[in-house]
Amino acid sequence: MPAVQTRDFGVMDLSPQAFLSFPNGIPGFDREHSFVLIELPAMAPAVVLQSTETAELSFLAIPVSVVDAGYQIGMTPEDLRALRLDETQQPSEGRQVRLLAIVSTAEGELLTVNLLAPIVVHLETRVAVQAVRSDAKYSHCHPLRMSAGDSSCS
Amino acid sequence: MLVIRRRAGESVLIGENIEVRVLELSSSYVKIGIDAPRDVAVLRREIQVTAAQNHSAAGLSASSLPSALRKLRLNAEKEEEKEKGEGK
Repeated sequence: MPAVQTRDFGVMDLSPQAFLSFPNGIPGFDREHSFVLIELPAMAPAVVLQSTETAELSFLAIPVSVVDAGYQIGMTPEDLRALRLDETQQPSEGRQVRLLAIVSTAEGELLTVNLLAPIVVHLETRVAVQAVRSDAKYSHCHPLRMSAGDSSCS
Repeated sequence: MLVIRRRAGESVLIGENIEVRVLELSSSYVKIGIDAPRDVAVLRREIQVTAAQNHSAAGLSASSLPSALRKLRLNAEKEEEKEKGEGK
């Protein structure tokens, strides 16, 4: 099993299924094309997205369905094409793709997730994109504590 | 902010090398074409917002999660219970 140097957990052996390829990188990190998905029971439902190229680059993510069970996928045709999915319809979560929201902190302790731009993983090919929506339906800093309305990030 | 009224097919020049043309109008969106030199980054604004958010997210380590996670688990359980309740 391929070993990966991680930022938070030392060197880890991971199954080939854990390896995700990002053909376009992700916004802000255009040259990062390869990440591993680390799923530890102690952290569930959160997961870690660790770059395989840059050991210091790692993200926390939460399945979008945990944050918003009614989330509606809204991928652009370009992103659908990048995953080789049908451009005329949105993929189905669980069957074709998995959606993860990257976690960050707003002011102070409040954790937020980016629902504007979920990481979309193709379940079969393990190709992934950060699919930035072009509508304003969801926030890039949706508060994790479900007390809606106290979003205070810029 | 400078506001200019344009019709489909008309364009606006920015500096000497950038042209923004309105290609198509519909009730819910406009299609615009942008001609700009290669060294000028042209991005949807949301992508820049996400890039900034990613840079801030990259600073968050797994150890900062536990307390937030407990709350999240509780919330997830509550949701499940609610769904079960609704199913009855």
